[in-house]
Amino acid sequence: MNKEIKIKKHEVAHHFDNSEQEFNSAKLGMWAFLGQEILFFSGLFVAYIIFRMMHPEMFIYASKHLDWKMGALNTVILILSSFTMVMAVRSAQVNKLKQCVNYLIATFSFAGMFMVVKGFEYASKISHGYLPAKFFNAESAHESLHIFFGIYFTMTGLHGLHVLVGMGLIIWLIIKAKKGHFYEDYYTPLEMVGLYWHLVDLIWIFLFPLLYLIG
Amino acid sequence: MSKDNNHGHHFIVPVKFYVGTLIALLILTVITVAAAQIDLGAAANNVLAMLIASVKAGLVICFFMGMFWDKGFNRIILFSTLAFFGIFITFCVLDIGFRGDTYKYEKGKYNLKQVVTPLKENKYHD
Amino acid sequence: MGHLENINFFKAAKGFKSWLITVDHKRIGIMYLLFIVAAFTLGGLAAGIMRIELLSPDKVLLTAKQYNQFFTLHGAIMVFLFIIPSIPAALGNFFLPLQIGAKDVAFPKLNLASLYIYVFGALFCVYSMWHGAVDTGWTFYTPYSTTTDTSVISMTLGAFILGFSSILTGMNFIVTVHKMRAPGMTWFRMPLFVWSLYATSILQVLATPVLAITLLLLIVEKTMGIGIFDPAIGGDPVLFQHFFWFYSHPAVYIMILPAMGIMSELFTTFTKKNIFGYKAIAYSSIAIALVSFLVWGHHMFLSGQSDLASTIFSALTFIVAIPSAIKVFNWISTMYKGSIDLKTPFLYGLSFLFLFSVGGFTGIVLGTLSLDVHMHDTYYVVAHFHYVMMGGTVMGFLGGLHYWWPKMFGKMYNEFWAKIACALIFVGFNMVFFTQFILGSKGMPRRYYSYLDQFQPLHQFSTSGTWVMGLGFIIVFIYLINSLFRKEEVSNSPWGGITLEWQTTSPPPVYNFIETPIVDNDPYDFEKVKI
Repeated sequence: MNKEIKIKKHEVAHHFDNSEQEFNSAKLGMWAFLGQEILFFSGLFVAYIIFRMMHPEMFIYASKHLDWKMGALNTVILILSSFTMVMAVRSAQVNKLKQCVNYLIATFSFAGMFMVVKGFEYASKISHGYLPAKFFNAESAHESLHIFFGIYFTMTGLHGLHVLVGMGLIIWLIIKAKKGHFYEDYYTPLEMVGLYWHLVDLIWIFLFPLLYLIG
Repeated sequence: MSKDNNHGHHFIVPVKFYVGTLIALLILTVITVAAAQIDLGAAANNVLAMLIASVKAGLVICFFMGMFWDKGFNRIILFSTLAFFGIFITFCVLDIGFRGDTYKYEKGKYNLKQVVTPLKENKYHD
Repeated sequence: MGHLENINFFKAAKGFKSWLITVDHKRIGIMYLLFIVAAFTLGGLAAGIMRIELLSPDKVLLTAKQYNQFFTLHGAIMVFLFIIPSIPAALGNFFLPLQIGAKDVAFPKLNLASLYIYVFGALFCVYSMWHGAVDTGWTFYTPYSTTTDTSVISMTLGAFILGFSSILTGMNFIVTVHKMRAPGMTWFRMPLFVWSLYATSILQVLATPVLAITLLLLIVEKTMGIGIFDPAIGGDPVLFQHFFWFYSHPAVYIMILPAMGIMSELFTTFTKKNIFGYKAIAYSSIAIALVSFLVWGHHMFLSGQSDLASTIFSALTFIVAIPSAIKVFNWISTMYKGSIDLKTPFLYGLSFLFLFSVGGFTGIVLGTLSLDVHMHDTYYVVAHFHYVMMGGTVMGFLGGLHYWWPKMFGKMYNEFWAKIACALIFVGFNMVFFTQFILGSKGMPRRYYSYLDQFQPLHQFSTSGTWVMGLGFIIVFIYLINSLFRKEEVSNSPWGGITLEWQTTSPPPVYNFIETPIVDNDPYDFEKVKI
């Protein structure tokens, strides 16, 4: 891995006139995809808001069962991973291919750390029996407490799933970047996965105060 | 057909924007956590938390996602998804927040015990 | 790629495998067409069997539970597997790039992927029929769907997957329209079918993810119990209806908008006249798409939704009538002083005009809060939405299929039989569903296995209509297949249409045009363009 990575030139697909059109098409498509991701998560946020409206005290009570320190740690981890992601894209833009690979590996490691912290949190919830209704098994001052944990597990679960998908995509990027596919004239997949990754970060930015920091 | 492999003049964002965003995001995270420890009343705390989260989201969108330098239509997509999210939540709240208002003053007026009589036997034809 | 340029896309590659791995939007469109026709046949058979059951208030063929399973099957298949992909995925895939002068859609591989996702989702739906067919109705309302032991999970998972196919197609079309237009093809030189597909794609991308999350939440609710939909664990079943209709009302416009686009094509080509009010029709497509997000609560007037919400939804519902009426008036005005040519596609166009108007007007009746209290969940509703979905979308689909058939396959069908079939379908359709308006206004509730004796003559008349319609569809099927074996080839533009797809060969070459077309006129300028 000490030798420099050699650039592999990219060919524009047959139905595009030039790489400018190709890049802009991909980016527009990606934003449309992000739009649908936002609306996909919007269902969860609507459910959250409605049930918080119906059971305000239960939500405050329930939120105390979550460890805000873990949440804050994960927020910081994801923000750092977003930063390394943009730096990976930028490295490709300025033809620093090796640096690009390193930034991608850093992003992947941060994502892994996020999942590990998440795993510890889940383990503690499960061991206390704070679970969705069918498995809920804990003492509670509020009889609707299972709803909070139902929503908590669905929201963080789906977000976690997106993180896992993102990790898969980053591995794919690392492989391609090592082969020298990304350079100043072609970095479309990097940019697209980057956008996706920032969206995952974005959702967590809202999940953190909504779930961990109530009352 | 011409196949020029140039991206034209792509704007390469200076590193200072990225580092600046990172620092701002980290500081805002600390502020969010700190603000949650102070009791301003439930409503004010919520508004503050959401305000900070929105600023953070704005930073990520503008600089990390490059919307600040981006094409107009990508912005339209983003704002319209947010608008539709707004519509979604508004109408749901219009329903769930206002149920049962109409008959509020008529409680006890009709005094219906049982509106529907359940069928005694299964009237299916099978 | 030189030698590929003038070979038609059927002959460019041979063998079954060349179809499985193709990225040609035309081949993908034709494969969609096959699946869609299969789905339509399956859903149609289910409907036919239901109607036979309703010949008598007593048991004819099915038990009550089987009857429930059949109407669920009919609804789910027709909505998710047929109507939603019908025009955009089959005809749209084929003609969107042709009409804007592109070589292909923006993401050809994604296009193929969405076909495979569609098939994968369809397999789930088929599996759920085998394995304890769902009996909830295609709407999967809670709490029944969370308590029934039929295969709700596999059916909803199927619909969830089909949703992604729809989203990817929508994304692909949006980008194609934005980025792939031929030189000179400005936004207001695009054919109106493209405008309607564009509006549809917006809906697909913005609304379908909410269906995805709704169905996913339903699955999680059923397996783990989140407590947001199931009232037994503190959930709100009406919230499910909000979630569901936030998608499914715009979905109604995903169904009808592309058919409206086809109408604009038919009304110009078969009157040889420039469209009346091009911009009004183009903008009204977008307006319909946007307003459709504001009216979903009119499905829930009797669900226990707050009266405030119901009132607002009712008022907003009337607004949708405006852009729809703009379109109808513009089509009628287009015919004025045109040289009208009553070929089969245009007959379907005229059928659309009548049936869609009836469907639209009865929609106003149902959107009126006070009337809906009486009409809700009666056959009146069933008749209304069949007039829009079948009288609108299916007529539009058939019109488009007949209009573009010679372009897709290079062969012309038998005009005489096509007219007969069109008449049978039109008459049969009205026999089935106009009767149901009467039944509904007399109080016959929908989704009932049995009924009062006094309704029997009307039910029997309605059922007899399905046979007339069925005969019509069989004839269509026969002469379309037969046309493929004909010897004579058709010209580039058998109807005298002038939009770009008529300026290339029938069937088109692999990359659609031998030379990239350069556009310098309005799409329907019959004065200027002669073919």
